[in-house]
Amino acid sequence: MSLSKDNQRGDVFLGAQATPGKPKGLLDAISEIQQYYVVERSGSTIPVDFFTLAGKLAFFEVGFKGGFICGLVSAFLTPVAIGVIEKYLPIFGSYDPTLYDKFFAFLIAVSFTVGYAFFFASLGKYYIGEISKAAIKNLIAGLVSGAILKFVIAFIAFHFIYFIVLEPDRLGAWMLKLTWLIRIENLDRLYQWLGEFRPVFLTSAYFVAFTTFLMVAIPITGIYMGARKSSKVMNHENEWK
Amino acid sequence: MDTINPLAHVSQEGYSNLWAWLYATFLNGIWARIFAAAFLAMAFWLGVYRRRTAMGIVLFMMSIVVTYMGGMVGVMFWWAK
Repeated sequence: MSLSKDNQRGDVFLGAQATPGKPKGLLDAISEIQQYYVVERSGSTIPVDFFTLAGKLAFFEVGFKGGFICGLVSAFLTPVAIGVIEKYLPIFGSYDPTLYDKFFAFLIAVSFTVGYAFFFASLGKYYIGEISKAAIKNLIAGLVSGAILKFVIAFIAFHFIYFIVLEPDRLGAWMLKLTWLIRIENLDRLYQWLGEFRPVFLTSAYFVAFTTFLMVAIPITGIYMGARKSSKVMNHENEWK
Repeated sequence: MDTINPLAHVSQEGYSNLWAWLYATFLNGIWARIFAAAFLAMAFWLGVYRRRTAMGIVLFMMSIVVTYMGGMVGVMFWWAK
């Protein structure tokens, strides 16, 4: 919105947004979807071509980045949580976790994914018109693609760590090269610990599959339920008109 | 420079006790559990419900720090032994 210099009578010139339909981040994307929703909810129709190919790709990209980065955070925290549950890592300063501690370690590992997924799930309310639906579909398609790519990378990486990086002979050879930096007693303790911790990566690889499922299932379920609710509300409103 | 040296204001024992108290209060035991749970709940409340993403991420990171930092400090002491 801008005010012309030549026009000092208070008339307001409604300028176009610089890049319509090209959100840069998740909040931008949600804001745009809210705008489409407001227009379509009021009964106005937006031409389908308004949502350009570049716009679709931009929504896909936002979802993809979100799914991938958020998934990586979760994938990083997964071996830590399983290490706590298996008593290899300390939590709250203790190597003897209580049931609450184990639950909390698990919660921390999944909470970033779950929080992000609920963020997306809240879009269900806006899933009504053609443009809103197209925007949300592209956002979710990006999210699912990002989450699946993250799963594939994390799954391969955890198996690579288990079979290649922490393979006892290879690990021993690598650690012997560090004797100039770390005392041999500490190296020995580290070697023992890594040997015991090694299977955690295999468990983590399959746990990441579970978090990926949450990442995909929560937004889709939330959008489905939100859309049904919005549709019911609109039907009631039409009946009362 | 003496003004910003804590040992100019408290004894070494008092200063060590202060850090031990901070460690025991915020990174260890029941208080650490309460703080970590509160930070995580606030991260969800602000980040997801109120849509203040940056605050949500900061609180989530604080929750991780409180949860695992106590153990990290323990590992550092173990390593230095």
